[in-house]
Amino acid sequence: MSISLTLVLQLIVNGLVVGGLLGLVALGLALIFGVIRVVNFAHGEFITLGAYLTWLIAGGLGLSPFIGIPVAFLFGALVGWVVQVLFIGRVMERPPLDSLMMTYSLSILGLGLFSFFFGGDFRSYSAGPNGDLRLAGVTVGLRSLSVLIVCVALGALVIMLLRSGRLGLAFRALAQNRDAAASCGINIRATERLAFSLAVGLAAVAGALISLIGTTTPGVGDDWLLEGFVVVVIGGMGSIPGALAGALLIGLLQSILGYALDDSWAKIITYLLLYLTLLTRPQGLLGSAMEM
Amino acid sequence: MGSLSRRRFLGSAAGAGLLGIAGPRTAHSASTINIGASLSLTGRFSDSAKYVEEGYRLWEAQTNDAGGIGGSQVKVTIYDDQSNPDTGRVLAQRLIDRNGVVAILGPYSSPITDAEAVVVERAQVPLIGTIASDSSIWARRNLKWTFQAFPSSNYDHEGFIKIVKEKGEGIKKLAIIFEQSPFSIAGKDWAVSYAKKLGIPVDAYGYAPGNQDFRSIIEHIVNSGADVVSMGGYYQPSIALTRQMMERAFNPKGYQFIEASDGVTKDALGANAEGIFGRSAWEASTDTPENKAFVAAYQKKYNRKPSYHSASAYAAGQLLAAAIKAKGAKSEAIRDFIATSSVDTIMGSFKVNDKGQQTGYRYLTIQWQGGTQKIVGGNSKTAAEWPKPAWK
Amino acid sequence: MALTRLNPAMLAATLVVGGLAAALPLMGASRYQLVLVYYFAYYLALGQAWNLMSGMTGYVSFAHGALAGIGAYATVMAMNAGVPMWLSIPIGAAVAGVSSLVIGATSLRLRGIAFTFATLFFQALALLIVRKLPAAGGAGGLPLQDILPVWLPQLFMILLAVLSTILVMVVRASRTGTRLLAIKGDEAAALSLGIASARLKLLFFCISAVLAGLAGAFHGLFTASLYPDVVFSFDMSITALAVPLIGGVATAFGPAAGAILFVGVGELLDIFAPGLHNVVIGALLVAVVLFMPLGLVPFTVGRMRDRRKDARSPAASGEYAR
Repeated sequence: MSISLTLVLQLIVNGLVVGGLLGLVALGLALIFGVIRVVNFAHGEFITLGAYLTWLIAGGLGLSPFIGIPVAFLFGALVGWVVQVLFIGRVMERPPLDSLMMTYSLSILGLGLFSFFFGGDFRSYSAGPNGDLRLAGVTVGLRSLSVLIVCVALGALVIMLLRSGRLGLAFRALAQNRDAAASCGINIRATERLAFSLAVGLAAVAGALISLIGTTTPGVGDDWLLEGFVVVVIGGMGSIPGALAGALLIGLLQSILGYALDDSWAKIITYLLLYLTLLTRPQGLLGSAMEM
Repeated sequence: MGSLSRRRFLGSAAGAGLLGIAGPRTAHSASTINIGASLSLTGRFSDSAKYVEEGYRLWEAQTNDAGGIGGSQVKVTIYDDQSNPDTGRVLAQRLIDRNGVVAILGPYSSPITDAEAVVVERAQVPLIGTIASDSSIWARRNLKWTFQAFPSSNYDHEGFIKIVKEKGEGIKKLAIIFEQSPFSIAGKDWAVSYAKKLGIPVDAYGYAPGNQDFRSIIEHIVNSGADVVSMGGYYQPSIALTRQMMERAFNPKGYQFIEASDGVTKDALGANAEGIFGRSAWEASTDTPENKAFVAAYQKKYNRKPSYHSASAYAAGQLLAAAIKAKGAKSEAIRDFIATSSVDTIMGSFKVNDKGQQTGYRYLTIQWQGGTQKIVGGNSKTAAEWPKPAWK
Repeated sequence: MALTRLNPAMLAATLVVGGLAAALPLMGASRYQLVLVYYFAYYLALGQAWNLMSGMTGYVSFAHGALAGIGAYATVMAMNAGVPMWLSIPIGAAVAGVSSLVIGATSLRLRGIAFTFATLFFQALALLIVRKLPAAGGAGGLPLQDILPVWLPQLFMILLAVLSTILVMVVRASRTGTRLLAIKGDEAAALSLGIASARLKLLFFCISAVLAGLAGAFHGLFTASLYPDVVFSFDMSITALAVPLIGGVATAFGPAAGAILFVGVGELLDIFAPGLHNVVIGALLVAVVLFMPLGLVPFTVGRMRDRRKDARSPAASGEYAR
């Protein structure tokens, strides 16, 4: 096995694509945990939602899958809003066990609905950019490149939103101290709903992108959610920069390990890293000591 | 607390009642031959399972229209095992006890086939592995009541490797990609030793079931200098692999994925399907009168050309009919007949060895040429295209 | 919270029903009916195992399917190697128990969610690792070489279901049970009361794992066929928690109601509407979490008690603490 520079660059590119997608997923998870203090086990279903929506658009209607991105975001945000109002919001005042079981139950329900409506078999479509870009001996498929660009752009937008703007301020206020935020006149309910909505919208976009470079099954989102959890635990549960850094790290790690060993080993080692984190630094790299 | 104990008894009574109520109790009447089938109509392989169901229904309808078997009508009861072996276990038992079936037509995947094989070994009812390509189920156990009615996955890569040897002068290396599940591992093992025997350098790369990301594997293949690839996994991962190879601008000189004979390949890959090989248990174009009749009947009933899943299902029906005609509609008799006889069906010549493994049926090799799939290799007059044209 | 004593009526009921179930083969029940009873016992045993840990302490485990799976693999591997059954089964249970100690050691001293994550990834890791273990048959699966007659694992499973139900009954009625529930209610307060939280959690997680391992071992003997993708799929972990959650957490009979529901509804769905399984379970779970967080049995009992209470004078209840 010869290690050439082009090979390394190739692996890095592959890792960045995975890292970008993980970033979108982890961003949503961190947002929900940070602002609402809920661990969203249903996040995978929202990813799957975006994937199937895009499949309907590209495969069913024959349109460009890129239309699926904004559609997934808007639809996802809407579904997220409804879920927050009808389900999550109602159990938030209860012990954390209840909200955990609520999101988990919603996940099972969602999985069942997808299997029922779309069948358990794989779904894919052929629409989308074909071809590749050659740069310094590295080949990047146009699809993968699009995914990367969208992830980075969307991620940057969200970061900007969080840093400036009143909504971002509200999010950060709730994350820091809920009661203090309320006494500052921030509308807690609306902020929580917006946070959940936004996170779900991001998840749905991730799903749309995943459908572009892979195939869709009812469980596709859940597979990515597992990795997403690793990212937020290692990065720090409520931490946005932790989520992004973690996503990059895990994406690259899996790409390199996937080549050096195989994909299963890459996952095994990644999950073992999670245990290591829990053992040595449970708050993750950038999380606060209170979280775990 | 008394109310709780009362509740518990009530619950048990309701449960017991349910056991009695659930499912239609079919009387084992002399004028109906009851046959059961377990299909994964929901779950991972639901698309293929649908074709299998169609094959069974066509056989059932045709048989009954022609007066049944020995004067008795045939009734096929199909339950959905939901791609879950525990469900398959229960439904096999339900078919035997409540529906009184004399034989069960087999489920799709190895775990479910194995689960139901254990049930029928205990209950002594024959199980026909309609699409069971994984021979290991029979290799690792002594099964007397379960039979493989599909060509063994051992030979998944055989036809392609033969063509590589014949046409591929100066090729550097063969890369075999396999899914880490029993049927694919068996195919890989056989293919690796066969390739070595023919003097073809070979490497094998495994991926976990459900994995759709082949980029690492493709990097390995590119770096190893391999220029011929054979993929021994299911259809959808094969499409993902093909697309990712295209993205990587990697153009193997020869490329097979075993499920390429599925007609949907053309829709998925368009012009890029040109030159891709596949292996097929059955082809509509095979020129025998029985086959032509089957294709016509299927086309008439479903408005579609049949796939090998439907053909295999139909052939399993033919096998059962032959057994019942010869020995009557009793489980033991059917079992003895299947274990010892050679039967001609639209799939070829059915014959099992003393372990229950299929030795009669073999695979055909197909290749996509000019937008249609053609049988190549073996006795076929059609020449194989070589090398594969570059991806567009 | 008031201490309850062990109710002899409940104990008797459990033993009687268990005895009836065990005697069914002698009463001429068909194989189909027996297999349904078997799955009832299996879901109940697994559910009680989960109940004993997660139901009582509130630390949600997603690993019980994997713990059962480990029991199954260890037992079948031992039996295939010629180890007699009476030794293979404890081996399976022991391996499951040891695994739980490993998970527990990494995460039980942290908050509940860390434990849940640790179990989630344990399940995922078990699948990945067993697939790679040639000794366990790898992806090709592991058959039990000698297919046992079906009545033996069925009997074992019924015994296990009875035993685990009684165990939950006993724990519930004991001071230890009170301590566990205190951890569930408010761990900080429990700690301040001097309850040895970490030790209790680890102990009960281990017991719970041993029970799950036994259930898995018996299931392995029943199925005589193990495939990693089946054994370590998340389905069994979902069943392990759905059965007690829907039926009634931290109660002895709640999981029984849940198991009956699972088998009964499962059969109905299989025959009339397959493919809706997860939808129904998911919907039930959502409804339970929203409206009946204690589960069906406590909810119904509570309602019946309220109606009786209205007929008499108000009395302190609050029997079923969370």
